[in-house]
Amino acid sequence: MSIKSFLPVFLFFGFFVSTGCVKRVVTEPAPEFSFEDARVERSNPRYVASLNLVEDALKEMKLQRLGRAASQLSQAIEIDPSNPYAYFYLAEVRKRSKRYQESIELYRRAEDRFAANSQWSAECFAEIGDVYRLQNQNLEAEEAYRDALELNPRNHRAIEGLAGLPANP
Amino acid sequence: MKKFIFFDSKSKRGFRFWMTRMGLAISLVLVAYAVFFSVESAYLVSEKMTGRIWSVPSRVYASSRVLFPGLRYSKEDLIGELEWVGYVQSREAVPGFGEWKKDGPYLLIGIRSFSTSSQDLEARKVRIEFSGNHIERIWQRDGDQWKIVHTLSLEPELIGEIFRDEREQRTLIRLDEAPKTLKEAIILMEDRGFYDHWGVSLRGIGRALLANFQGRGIRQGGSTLTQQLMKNFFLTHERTLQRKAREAIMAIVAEILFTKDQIFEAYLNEIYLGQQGPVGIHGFGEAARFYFSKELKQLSLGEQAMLVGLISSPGRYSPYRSLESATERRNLVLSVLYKGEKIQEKDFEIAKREALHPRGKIRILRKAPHFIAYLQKELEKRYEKDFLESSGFQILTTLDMEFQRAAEASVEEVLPKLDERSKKRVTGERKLEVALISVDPHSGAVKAYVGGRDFSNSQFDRVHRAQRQPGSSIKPIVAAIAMSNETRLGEPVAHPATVLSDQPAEFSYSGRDWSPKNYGDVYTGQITLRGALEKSQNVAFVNLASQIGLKELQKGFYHFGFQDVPEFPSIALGAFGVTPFELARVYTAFPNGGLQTECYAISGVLSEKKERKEQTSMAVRKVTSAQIAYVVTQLMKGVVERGTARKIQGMLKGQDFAGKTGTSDDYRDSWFVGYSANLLTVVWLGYDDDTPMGLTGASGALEVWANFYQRILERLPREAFAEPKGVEWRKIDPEKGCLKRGLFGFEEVFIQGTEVPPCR
Repeated sequence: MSIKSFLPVFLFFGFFVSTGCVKRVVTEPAPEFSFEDARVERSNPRYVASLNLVEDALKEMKLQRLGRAASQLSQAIEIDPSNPYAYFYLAEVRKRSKRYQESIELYRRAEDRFAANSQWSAECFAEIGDVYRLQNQNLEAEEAYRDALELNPRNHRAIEGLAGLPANP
Repeated sequence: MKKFIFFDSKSKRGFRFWMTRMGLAISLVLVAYAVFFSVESAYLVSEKMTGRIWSVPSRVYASSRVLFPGLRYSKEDLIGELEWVGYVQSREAVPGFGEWKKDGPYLLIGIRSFSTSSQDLEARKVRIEFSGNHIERIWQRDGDQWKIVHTLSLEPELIGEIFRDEREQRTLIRLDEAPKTLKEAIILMEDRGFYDHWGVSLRGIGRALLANFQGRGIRQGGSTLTQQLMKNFFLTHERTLQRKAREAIMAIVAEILFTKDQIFEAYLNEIYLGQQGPVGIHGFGEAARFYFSKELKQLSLGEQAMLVGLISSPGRYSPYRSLESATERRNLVLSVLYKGEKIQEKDFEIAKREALHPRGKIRILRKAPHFIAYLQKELEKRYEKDFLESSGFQILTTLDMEFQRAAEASVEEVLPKLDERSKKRVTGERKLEVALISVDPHSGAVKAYVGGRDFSNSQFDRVHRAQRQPGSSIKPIVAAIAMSNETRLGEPVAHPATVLSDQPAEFSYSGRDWSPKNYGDVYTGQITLRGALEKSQNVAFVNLASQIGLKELQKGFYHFGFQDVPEFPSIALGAFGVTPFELARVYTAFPNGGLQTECYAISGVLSEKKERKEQTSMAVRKVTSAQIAYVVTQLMKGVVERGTARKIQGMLKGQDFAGKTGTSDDYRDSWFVGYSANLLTVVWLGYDDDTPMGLTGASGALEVWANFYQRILERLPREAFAEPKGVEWRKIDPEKGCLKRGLFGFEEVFIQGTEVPPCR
């Protein structure tokens, strides 16, 4: 049998590999805050009031009014310091304001508060990875992305982040 | 040659000729003067009315309280809070804005519009349902329906104003914001021909002259609104012809340069309508707030009429002076409106029957005086003083007025008792001084601030400016540094069960010997780190510091945010200057999982047009790990449960507290720093001149702290300190600091993986 007769098989295999069908990782989009979902987690009045302020802050963030959003998130933290969403979005505000070190600390605090919610915890680590990457701290970024993937192997941000890092950081 | 005849008495023609010439010359001078004065007036009027017309003081507000279902807050608490803001009980079925009304289990409130650092909130009607001492539900009026809301922000309390020397208070309004009836009443009462004349009304002057002639003296002015405005802007209140002439010319100039509406709007904002202590109330916007605690557009017809009645004599017709005179005057204004066919008979009758209910006068204008003075200094670093005093800024602060009042009351109650105790040890008439600062450790927002005992006696702000030795209140930071630093073997220098030597010893540094002593000369021989902190044993801590190393300890203090730390071994016992503010900031790391928060008092600065000039929110910095912060907090909890602050244990049941006392050398400074999960408070006591006072941290500052917390205990959420991942509890022998097996032993907290030797 000549090698030419295997050509269709080679071609098919090549196509199979190139389209990533051998092992395709299905990624998850970043979790989104929902007041109704979050209040199901806990019904403590302080927590609900604090979530309400987070919801208001998100509207301000969409309008790029970061100062107002930060004020509301600070107030949300005052009302309930155990509210992880308040820390998470304040970290995002700080990231957008280029206050990177503070952003990392706040993401870490959020991660600590999310505890049982691996999807959000992973998102915190992935965000930390992004913040490190913004500062060209690629080793730290890689570590954070890997922490994220350990908690949620489908975390889109961490997968993308890792792929985007230079080969030998 | 023609002979020049200066004056020929024989010639009648010559006399007339010269008289005419002189008359012409005088007329020319007068015309020139009039032209010059008109040009000058035009310049003055134009500059005044096109530039920044008024000096509006900046107003300082406390924080806006956020209410939510489940919050421990009774109806009476809320009414009290509303009254501080200036709200009054409504006499109608539905409260108006700036009013509240009880309705069974509900409290109905008409909340006025206001701004916070993040939102501009419209006026709205709300209904709050209470269940015992808790808020059950909150509704907000939305059209014809009540809609449930999760949070409700209350209008913040005005706590002070930053004035120029003339001390005029006003709330600026636009002409279209003034009710139509108010404008009509002003015109009917003060200047019926306002829209027809050119600034001066000959008919008005004639009427005034006649009235004055009949009354034999100056009784009526006959000034138009424009003249009144010019008088208020530029001239004195003396009644002379010269002043009247200037007033008239300026009024004509103003009428040429500006429209009637511009002049009327200026009048509405300028006119003097009353006095609050040293501060003049100017304009109808401010008068509505001052007399009725309402916005101008919310005034009833009767209330509008009363304000208009004040124009001619705010002192005589003030409802605070005589309700009867004010009512009589109001009715006169109402009848003028009715006769002028501006209101219906029915409205006239209703308004006439309406009883006048001015709100109670605000008791003080300047609350939390040291705090306001501190803000003023801070703001003057960013804005020019004059600009700050005249631009109508809204300074939004983080101060919680309930906590502030509690703090002030505690100082007032406790300090006289401590004066008595201190007198036994101090000669002469002296009064102890105090500083108290309370902050939310998670956000850094300042909640209470007492910079001294009596602002009128001493404006020195001890919270920010008193550099005093913290004594033993520094020890928790030494413990945290010891837990963060490693020995040569790579282990932490200390953990809670580390055994330290606690016996008289001599330490040498730079060729000098030093023998620290324990309080009461009591030595235990050996003691764990926990025991040393709870009992505040000095020698054990000096030993701990020597294990850390002086350089490392100093570095650790800087890392925690202290400013000036000398390189002496006694820094382990707090022998360096810190301010109460600095100590509060450093301590926030403990209840906040190792993140230190920057303490801030100004949450926002809004311009007169509500533009946000600045917004401040929390800022954090990691100074230690969450695990070390938690372990140190647990050690300080022991100080309150068994140690030097144990006397407060019985007073503050149902809450977790941690804290540390501090006493400097010779009892010159008495400190207590204590916190629950959500509120951290530093109290300092002492004499300004550093005289020893004979009080320890426990017998002085702790008394003020405990009194303060007893007053606010109901407001603090009952929460335990949040335990982070990575700590573990193990049973130990509290004397020997070794691990015990079995059921018995003292439960001690460690960072996971800490090597603790087992007991033998």
